[in-house]
Amino acid sequence: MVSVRLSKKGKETVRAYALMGIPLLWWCVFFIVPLIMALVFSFSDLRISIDQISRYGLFQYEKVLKDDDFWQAFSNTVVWTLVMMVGNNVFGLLMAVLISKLKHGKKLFIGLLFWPTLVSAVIGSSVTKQVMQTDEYGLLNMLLGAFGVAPVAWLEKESTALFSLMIMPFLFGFSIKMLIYYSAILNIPKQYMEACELETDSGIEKFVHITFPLIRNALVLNLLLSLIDGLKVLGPMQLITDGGPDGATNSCVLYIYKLAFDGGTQMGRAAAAAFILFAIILVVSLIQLLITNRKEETTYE
Amino acid sequence: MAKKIALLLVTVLMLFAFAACGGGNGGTTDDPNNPGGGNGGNTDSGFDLSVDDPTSLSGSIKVALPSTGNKRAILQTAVDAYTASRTGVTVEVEWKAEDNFYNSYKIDVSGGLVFPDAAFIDHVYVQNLASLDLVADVTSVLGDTEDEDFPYIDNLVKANELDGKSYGFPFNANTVALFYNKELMGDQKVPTTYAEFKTTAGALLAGNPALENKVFSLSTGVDYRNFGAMMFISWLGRNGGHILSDDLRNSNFLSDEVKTTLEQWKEIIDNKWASPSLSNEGNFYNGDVAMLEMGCWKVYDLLESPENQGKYGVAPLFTLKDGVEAQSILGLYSMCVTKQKDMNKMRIAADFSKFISTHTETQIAFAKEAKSLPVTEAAVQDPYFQSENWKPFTDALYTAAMRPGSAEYPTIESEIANMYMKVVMGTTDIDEAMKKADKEVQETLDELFEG
Repeated sequence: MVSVRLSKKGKETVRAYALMGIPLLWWCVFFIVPLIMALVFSFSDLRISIDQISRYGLFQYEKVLKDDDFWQAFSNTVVWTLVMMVGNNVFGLLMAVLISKLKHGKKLFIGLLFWPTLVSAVIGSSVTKQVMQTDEYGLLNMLLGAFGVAPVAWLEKESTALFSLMIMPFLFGFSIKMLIYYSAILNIPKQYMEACELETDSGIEKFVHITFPLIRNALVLNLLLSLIDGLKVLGPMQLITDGGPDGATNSCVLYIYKLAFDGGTQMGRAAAAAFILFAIILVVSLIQLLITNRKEETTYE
Repeated sequence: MAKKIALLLVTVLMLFAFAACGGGNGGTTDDPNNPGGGNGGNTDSGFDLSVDDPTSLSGSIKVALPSTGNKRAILQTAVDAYTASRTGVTVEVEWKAEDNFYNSYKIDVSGGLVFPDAAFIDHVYVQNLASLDLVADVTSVLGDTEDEDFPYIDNLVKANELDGKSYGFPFNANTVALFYNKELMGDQKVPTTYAEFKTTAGALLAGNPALENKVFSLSTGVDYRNFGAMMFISWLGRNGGHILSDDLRNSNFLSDEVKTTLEQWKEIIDNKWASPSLSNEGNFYNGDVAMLEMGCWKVYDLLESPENQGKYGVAPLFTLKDGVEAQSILGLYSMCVTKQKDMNKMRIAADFSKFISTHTETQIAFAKEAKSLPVTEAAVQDPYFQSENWKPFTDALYTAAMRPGSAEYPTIESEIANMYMKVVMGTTDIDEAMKKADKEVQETLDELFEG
C-alpha cells in the first residue's frame, strides 16, 4: 500500500478543499449547472421538451432583440430603476440624516420607517391595488373625489399604469437604504464634524463637505443594490397588472417569466432574454463601479 | 490560476453543449418502440392503445391527480375501484396540491426522467401538448362519438382534438350562465337575446340612476385579463365567430364577428350599463349590480347558501345573433396520457383515464366537490345537475365554446384583453385595435408553425 505523506501546508490545503467541498457542490448543482444549461438552451429552439430541440444558433437572441415587446419591457424597467434609484436613495438619505439629528426617539423612528419592509410583496401589491383601484372604490380616487376630481382609471390607462405601480415602492421602499445610510453616518468620526463646526454653522455645508463624502461607500452600495433590484423587478407588475395594459407595465423579468412559464412554451427564447438581461446588468454595474472607483481614487488623492 | 479556471469553465460548457446537442430530436423512426420519434409512441397515422380485455392488463402506472378539499378521497375511491377491477395493475398516485398543474406537468415531461403516465390537465393546454408530441393520441380508447353508447358529451371531446385525433379524456367541466339580482331586476324581463338585454338594461338604468355603470358586468379591469379573454371568446362564439381558424394557424381578429363583439361591448360601456375599467363582479356579490355572467362555481354562494336564499336567480346566457345558440365559454379538465416508449404503460394509463372519467359515482361526487359539472351523459342526468339552479350550466355543456388550444394561447389571451380594453377605455378605435391584435397574433402563429 502506498502512503502519501503531505506537508503541513498540503494537509491544510486538503482540509480547506474538503470544507469548501459541500458549499461548492451546492453552488455547482444549483447555480453553475443550471446557468450553463440555460446558456446552452438560449442557443436552441427549446420549447418544452429537451428531446425536441432541433437546431442551435443565435436566432433566439436575434428574435429577442428584434421584439418590440422586449424593448418596451426594457424601457419600463429602466424607467422603474431610475425612479426607484433616485427616490429610494433621496428618501433614505434624508430620513437617515434627519434621524441622526434627533436627540430622542431615534430607535422609534427607525423602527417605524423600517416597518414597510416587513410587509410581504404580495400584501403590498394588494394594498397598492386597493389604493389605485379604478372608479370610486379606490382610496386615491376617494380622496380625489372629496375635492371634486372625477375618478381616474389609474391601472387601466397606459399613460398612468406604470406610474401607479411606482407610487408605493417609491414612498415606502427606502427602509433598507435608510439603515445603511444611518449606520454610515454614525461611523463618521466626531472630530471631523467638530472641526467643520469651527468653520461654519450651516447644516447644508456640513452635509456637503463632511457627511456626504464620508458616506460615499454607503451611497455606492445603495445605488448598486437599487440598480440590481430595479432591473430585476417583477412583483408589482405580475401581481397587480400582469404587465398590462398592452405591455405598459411589462418588465424584463416578467417578459422572461411569461415566455417560459405562465402557459408560455418558449424556454429557449426565455433563456436568451435572461442572458441579455444578465449582460445588461453586468455592463451597467461594471460601469457604475468603474465611475465610483475613479471618483474614490480622486477623492483620496 | 485564472487561466486554469477559465479553461475548466470552457471545458464544462462544451461538455454540456455536446450533451444537449446529443439529446436533439429524441427517438428515431428506426426504433420499433418509438416509431414516431419525440418521446416515443405515436406515429402520424395514429396507433391503437385499446385492449380487447382491459381486465387482462398488468403492470404499474404513476398518475398525477388533484387533492384539494375532498377531491383526494373521491379520486382514491375511484383508483381503488379501478385496481379492484384490474387485479394485475397497480396505480401510484402523485397527489397535487393544485387543480391546474400544467406547469409542473410541463416540467416533469420536459425533464424526461420521471413523469406521470397520466395527468389531469386544463383543456387549453391539451392541444398544445399534443402539437409538441408530449401526450398520446387516445382516439382508439376514447371511442366514437357516433356510437350510441359513447359516454361523453360530444361537444367536450372536441376541446381535446387536434388534426382529427383526440388527446384527452374529458374529466370535469364548468360553464357560464347569467346570474341576476332579483330585487334590482324588479319586473324587468331576464333577457334571452341581445335586443332584450338592451331593453332591460335601458329600463333598469332609467328607473334607478344608482345603476349607472352597474347594470351589467363586463370583465374589464386589470384583474380580469384572463377571464375577460375567456368571456370575449364566449361573446364571439355567440356572434358566430372564432378567434382562430380551425387549424389554429390563422388569426381571425380581423373578422366581422370580432368587430361586432367589440361594438357590442363598446355599446354597453357607452350606455353606462357597465364600467369600462372595473369588473362589477365584486359589486354584484355586494348586491349593487343587476346582472353578471359567471361560472357554475358560484352556484353555491349565490343560490344555495342560506344567507342568499331567494336573492339571486340564474338563466341561460342571452343570444347575440339570430340563428346562433348561446355559447358559454368552456372550462374543462381532462386526463391525458403521457407519450412514452412503454406501450404497456400507455395502454394502462389510457384505460385508467377512461375508467375514472366515465365512472358515474366519481363524476358526480367530484363535480359536486369542485362546484363544477360532470362530463358524461349518465352523470349529468343526476337530479342535482338537472335542478333549476344547475340546469342552465348543464345545458350549456352541449354548446359551450372552447378556447383555442394553441401553444400561443397566452399571447392570444393577452392580445384579446389588450384589444377590448383599448376599445372600452376609448383609447383606440375598434379597427385599429383589431389590426394591432391581428398583427401580433398572426406573427406569433407564423413563427410557431414555421418552427
